[in-house]
Amino acid sequence: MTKDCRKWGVGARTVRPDAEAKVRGEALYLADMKVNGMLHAALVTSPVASGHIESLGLDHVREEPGVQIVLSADDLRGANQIGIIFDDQPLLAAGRVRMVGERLALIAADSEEQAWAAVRAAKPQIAAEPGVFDVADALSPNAPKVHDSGNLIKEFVMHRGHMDDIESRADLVIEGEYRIGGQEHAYMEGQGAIVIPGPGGTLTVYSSTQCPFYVRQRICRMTGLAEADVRVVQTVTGGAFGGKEDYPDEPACCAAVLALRAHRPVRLVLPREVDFQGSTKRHRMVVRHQLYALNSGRILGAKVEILVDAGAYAGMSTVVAERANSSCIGPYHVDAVQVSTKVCYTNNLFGGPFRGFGAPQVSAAHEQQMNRLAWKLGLDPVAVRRTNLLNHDRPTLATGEVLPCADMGPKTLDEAVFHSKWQPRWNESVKSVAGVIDPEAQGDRYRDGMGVGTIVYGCSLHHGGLLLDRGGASMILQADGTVNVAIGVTEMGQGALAAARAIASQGLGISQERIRVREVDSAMVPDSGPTVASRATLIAGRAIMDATKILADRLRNIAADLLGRVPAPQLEFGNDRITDPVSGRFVSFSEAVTALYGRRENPAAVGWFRPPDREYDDESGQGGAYIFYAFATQVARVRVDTWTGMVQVRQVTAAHDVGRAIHPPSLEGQIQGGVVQSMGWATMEDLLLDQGVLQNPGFTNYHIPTATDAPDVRIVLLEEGTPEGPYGAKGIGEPSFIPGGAAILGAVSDALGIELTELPLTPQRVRMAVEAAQTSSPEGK
Amino acid sequence: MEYYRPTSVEDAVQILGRSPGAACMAGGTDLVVAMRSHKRGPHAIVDLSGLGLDTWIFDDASNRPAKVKTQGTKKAGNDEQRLGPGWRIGATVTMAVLKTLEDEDNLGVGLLADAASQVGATQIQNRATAGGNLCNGSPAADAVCAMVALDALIEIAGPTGAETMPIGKFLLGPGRVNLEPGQFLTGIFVPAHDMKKSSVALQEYRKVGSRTSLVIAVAGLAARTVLDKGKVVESRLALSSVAPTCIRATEAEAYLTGGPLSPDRIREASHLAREEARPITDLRATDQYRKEMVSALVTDHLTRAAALAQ
Amino acid sequence: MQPKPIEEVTVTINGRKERLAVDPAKRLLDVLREDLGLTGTKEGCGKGECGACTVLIDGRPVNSCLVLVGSVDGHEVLTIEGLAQPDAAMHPVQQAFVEQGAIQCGFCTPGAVLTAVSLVDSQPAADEEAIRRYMAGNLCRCTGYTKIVSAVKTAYEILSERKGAGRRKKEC
Ligand SMILES: Cc1cc2nc3c(=O)[nH]c(=O)nc-3n(C[C@H](O)[C@H](O)[C@H](O)COP(=O)(O)OP(=O)(O)OC[C@H]3O[C@@H](n4cnc5c(N)ncnc54)[C@H](O)[C@@H]3O)c2cc1C
Ligand code: FES
Ligand code: FES
Repeated sequence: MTKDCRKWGVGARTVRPDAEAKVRGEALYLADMKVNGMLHAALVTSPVASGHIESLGLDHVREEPGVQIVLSADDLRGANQIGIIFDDQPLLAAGRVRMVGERLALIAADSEEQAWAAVRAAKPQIAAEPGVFDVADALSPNAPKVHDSGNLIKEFVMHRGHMDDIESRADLVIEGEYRIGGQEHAYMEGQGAIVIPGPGGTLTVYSSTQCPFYVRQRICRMTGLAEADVRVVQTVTGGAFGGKEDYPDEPACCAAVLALRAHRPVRLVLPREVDFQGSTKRHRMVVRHQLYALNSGRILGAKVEILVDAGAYAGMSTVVAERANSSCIGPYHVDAVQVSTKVCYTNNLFGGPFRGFGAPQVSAAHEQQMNRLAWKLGLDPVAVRRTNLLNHDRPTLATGEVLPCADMGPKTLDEAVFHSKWQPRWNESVKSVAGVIDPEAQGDRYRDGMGVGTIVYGCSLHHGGLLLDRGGASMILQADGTVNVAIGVTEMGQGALAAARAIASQGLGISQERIRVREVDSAMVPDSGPTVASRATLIAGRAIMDATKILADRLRNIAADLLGRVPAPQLEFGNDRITDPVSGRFVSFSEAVTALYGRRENPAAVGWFRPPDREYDDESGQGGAYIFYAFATQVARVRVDTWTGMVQVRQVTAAHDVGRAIHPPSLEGQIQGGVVQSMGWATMEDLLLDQGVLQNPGFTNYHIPTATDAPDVRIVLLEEGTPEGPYGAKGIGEPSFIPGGAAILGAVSDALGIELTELPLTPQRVRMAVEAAQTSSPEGK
Repeated sequence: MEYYRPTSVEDAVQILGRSPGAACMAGGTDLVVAMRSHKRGPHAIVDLSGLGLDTWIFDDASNRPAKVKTQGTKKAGNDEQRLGPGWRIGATVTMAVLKTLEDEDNLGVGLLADAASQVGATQIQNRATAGGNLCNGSPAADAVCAMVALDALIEIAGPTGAETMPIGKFLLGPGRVNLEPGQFLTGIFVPAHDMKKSSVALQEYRKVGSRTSLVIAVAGLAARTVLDKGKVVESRLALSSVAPTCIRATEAEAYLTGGPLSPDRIREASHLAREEARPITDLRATDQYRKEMVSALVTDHLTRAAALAQ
Repeated sequence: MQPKPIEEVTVTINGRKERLAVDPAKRLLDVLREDLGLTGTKEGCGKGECGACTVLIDGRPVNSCLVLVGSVDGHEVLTIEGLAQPDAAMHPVQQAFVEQGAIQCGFCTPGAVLTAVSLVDSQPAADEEAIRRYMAGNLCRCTGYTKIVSAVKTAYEILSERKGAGRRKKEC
C-alpha cells in the first residue's frame, strides 16, 4: 500500500506544528517562565473536610523569611466568590470549611520554597463537624447539610413514553446498582498561573488552561476589572483532560488578588499533592438501573436513578450531570424511559469535568445491563446490542432526537466485532468457579474474557450550554504567502493546532507548512467558549472555513483576472495553486497573494461559527440536546489472574465514527491515549478517601498505567462525514474514552462468570469478587 | 545544611561521629523523597558515593580464615560462623548493577538479581542501592527480601570498628535497622548456596501490586527451591510486605525440606506460610488480601518448582 | 585532617564544565532549571514517580528530582538541551518521536526521549516488550504509549540506516 504523502489539506499525515519545539525542550510551559520581580504564591489549605474555622493561625506566618503578603477572606477587597455556575464557592474559606484542600489563606513570598515553608508555619484551628462522605447518604433527612440550602444541588430528568405500559409488557427486568469510581486527571503538568499587573490596573495572565475565557471571566468578577483590561494568554499546556476546564481559574484568581495587592507579578504553581487533593476529579456516581426487556432480547425501556457526588462545591457538576442524564440509556431504541439524575453536595473531592463528562460512568452501567440481559437469556451480548441499536428504521434517541447517522452505531459494532475476532467465553459451558488457590487448579488460574462497549456521544455542548456554543478564528494572509491563524480554542496536547492548520490548508489549497496557528490570546480572538466536549475541531474548524472562504473568494477574483477572463467560480484551490480545471492553467498561490497586496485589498478575515438553534425541554429531558452525534464501539480482551485479581487488558479494538480524519496522526493519538486512560480508570486508578482526606495524593500510590500496562490498541476509523462538521469531521477526544470502561467491566465479568458492578476493578476488588463467588457457589470450598 | 562527600570509610566514620544529626545518603531515592515531604530533616548529609563501595566481587574463600566472627545484637552475643564462598557486594552497588549478576550455576545470587530488576523502573534502578534498600528499613523492599532468603550477612563500619551481622538481626521493624549512632553499612555478603549436579533449582522473586511496573509490593516472595531426586533439599521462602520486616516462612521451609512437592504438601506449605505472615491493613491492601497473596505466591512458586522437577 | 563539607560542585553539563557555587544539597532538577535556565527538564511529581525530570548522568537515565547536585560532582549530565543544539539537526531519537507523532502535550517528552537515547545507546536491539519495560519509568498521560514505542523502534532503524545497514521504509 502506498501511503498518502500529501502535505496540504485535511487528511494529510503531516508532523504536528508543535512537535519539534517540544521534543527539543524549547516549548515554554508555565513553570518554565520567569518574570522580573516575580513573587511566588502558596496556599494554606484545610486539613479537615467539614468544620468551623476557629482561627487561621497565621500570626507567625507573616514573620517567616521572605513572606511579603498574607491574605485571608477578611482581607479580600472584591467579591469572595468563584462559583462558576452557582454562587456557592468562596475563593478563601470564611467561617466554614467543606472540603479538605479548601483554601484558607494565600501567601506570596520571594521564593517558592519560602512561600511553602510559610504555609507550614500556619496553624489553623478548625473544629471538625460531621460531614457527608457517601453520596448515597447525602439526601437522607438526617444527613448533615454541606450548604444551608441542603445537599441537593439540582435534579435532571428524562421522561419518554409510558413506563406503566412497558412495565406490564416486559418479560423480565434486569436490576443493577453500579458504584463507579472517580478519577484524577493526572495531567503531567500540574496547575498554575502567572499574573502580571500592568499600568492602569490591567492584568496579563499566563495560564495553563483549556478555557482562557473562563479564566478571564472569573478574574474580572473577583476583581471588578473590565474584560478588555484582562488579557489571558494560554501557555503551552501539558495535558488537561477536563481538569483544566474550570479549575485553572482558581490558581489564576489567587495569583491575581495577590498581584493586585503586591503590585508585582505573582506566580502560583501547585505542588502535585496540593493539586491532587484540591483540584477537580471525575465524579463518583451511583447508578441504579432497571432495564425492561422481552425474552427475545429486545429492550422496552429503562428506569434510571443517578446520584452524582459533586463534592463540596457545585463547580461544573450540574453540567456534567446533564450529559450523564442524557446519555444513560445509550445508543438503543426504547419505548419509554424515566430517568432522574441528582447532583449532591458531599464533603468529598471536588467533582468536575473529565474526558467523557459523566458519560463513561453511565455507559459502564448501561452496557453492563445489556450484558446481563444477554447472559440471562443465554444470548451473545453483541446480538442483544444488534437487536436494540438505533438504525435508520428506528433512529430516535431516548431524548427524542432523530439521528440521521443512526446506522453508524451498528456499523461501529460490526467493525469492532470483526477486527477483534469477538469470541466471549460466557456462552461456553465452563462456568466452574475460578480462583481457587491450589496447586491442582493452576491450569485454571488465568481466565480470558471479552467485553464490548457501544456508545453514542453528543458532540459539543449540551443545549444547556448553547449560549457558549460559538467560536471565531482570525486569519491574515501575509505578503509572502504565509498565513497566520488565531483560534479561540486551545491546544492542550490533543492536536488542535494540527487540526486547525489542516483545515486552513484545505480551505486555501496550500501546504500546511505555510500556516502558523497560535495558542489562544484572549485579546486577539473572540470568546469561543470552552475547549471541551470534543468541540475544538468543530468550532475552530468551521470558523476557519468561514474565514478561508472569505479570503479564497477574494483570491479567486484576482486569479481569474490574472488568468484572463476565466469565470471565477470554477477555479479550484489545491497544491499551492489556483487552477482553472477547464484549461488546466493556474496561478500560484503566492502570485495571487502578491497581486492582492498589489491592489491594496484586505488580507485578513475573521470567521465565525454559530451552531444552529435547537429546542430542548428541561422538564422532560426531550429535544435537541446536541448538534450531532458520534457512535463508537470498543471491544476489550482481558486476562484475569484469578489468584491475585490482577486484570491485564491485552487488547482494545476501537471502532469510531469520526466523520473525517482531519489530521490522522493526532486522531490516532487521541484514541490510543483515550483507551489507555480509560483502562487506567477501570482497572487501577482508585481515589482512596477517608473522611474526605485523599489517602493517595500523588503518583506513589495513585497508579496510572505505565508503558508495560498499556494494551495493544487497534483502531478502525469510519469516515462517513457529517454535514455540520468541518469537512465532515465529528469529535474524538471524549468518545475515545467513554466505551473503554464499559468494555473492560464486561470483559472481566465475562472472564470470571461474575456480574461485576463496580469500578475500578483493582486486584483486591476482583479477588474479593472471586472469593465471594466461591463461597456462594455449590462447587466452591 | 552541610554536605559531605568523604572518600574513605574512615572519613565517613569520623564525620558521622561528630555530627549526630547527619544522614547517610547513597542513591537518595528514599532519603530525598523523605526530605521533600518533611518526614526527615537532617542537619548534614554524608554522601556515600565517593567511598568506592560501588563494586562487587565473587570471593571463593580461598584467602579467608576458616571462621569469621559474626556479631548479632548486643543481647544475642557473638557467634562464630563459617563463611564459605560468596558475593561481596558494596553498599552503594546499584540495582542496575545487581540485576546483571549472573548465576548460571544457581548459587543463589540470581535471586537477588531478579529482585533488583523489579525495583522501581530504569531511572530508580540506576540510583537505588543495595545498602539503601536495607537501611531504609521498608518491609516492602524487594532486594532485601531476596537477601533475607539467601541469609545474607551485613557488613558495618563504625566508631568501634567493623562488624558483620546476620540480616535477620539487622532488620528490626518498619523504618528501623540495627545501626548504632555513627555506624553505617559498608556492604553485604551473599553466601553461595552450592547444590549437587543432579539437583534442579527454581529461584525467583515475584511480587503482587496494582500494576506491572513501578510498583511497591503488596506482597512479595523471594524463593529458592532445590530438588534432588524428587525431594526438596533446600527451601528458602522469604516474604515482603506482610510483616514488620521481610521475614522467612521458616515453618513452611522446614515442612517442605526432605519431602516431595506433591499437591498435598504444597497445599500444606502454602497454608503454613500464610499463617506465618502477619500483615497489616494499609491503603495499599487489607491484611486479608495480603494473606491470600502469600498463599498465591507460595503455591505458584512451588507448583512451578514441582513441574521443573518432572 | 578533618573532612570538610563541600561548598561547590564541578560538573560537566551538556559537554560544558561548570563550577557551580550552589548548595550541594539542592536538587539537580532545581539547579538545571533555576540556576542554569535549562527548563527543558520538567518537574511532574518531585518524587521519582513520573520521569518527566529524567536526565542522563554518565549516559544513564536518572530522576533529577531525586539527585542532590553534590552527588554529581565530577560526573557528566546530559539534558534535552544538550542532545541537539537549537540550530543543529535533531538526534535520531528526537527525529523518530517527531515522525511517529509520539508527542502530544509534550510534557513527558524530554524525559522520555532521554530514556530512549540511553536505551538505543546501551542495547544494540530491543523488542517491544524490552522497550516498554525500559520506558516504564516515564509516565505519559496523553499518548497511551503506542506511538512512543513505535518511535523507539524507528530510532533503532534510523541508527542502523546511518550505520549503512540498508534503508528503512519511511512513511512519507
Ligand atoms: C519511584 C520509586 C520507586 C521505588 N520502587 C521501589 C521498589 O519497587 N522496590 C523497592 O524495594 N524499593 C523501591 N523504592 C525505594 C528505594 O528506591 C529503594 O529502597 C532503594 O534501594 C534505596 O536506595 P538508595 O540508595 O536510594 O537509598 P537512600 O535514599 O540513599 O537511603 C535510604 C535510607 O538508608 C540510609 N542509608 C543508605 N545507605 C546507607 C548505608 N550504606 N549505611 C547506613 N545508612 C544508609 C539513608 O540514610 C536513608 O535513611 C522506590 C523509590 C522510588 C522513589
Ligand atoms: S519529577 Fe522527577 S520523577 Fe517526577
Ligand atoms: S505527551 Fe502528554 S504526557 Fe506524554
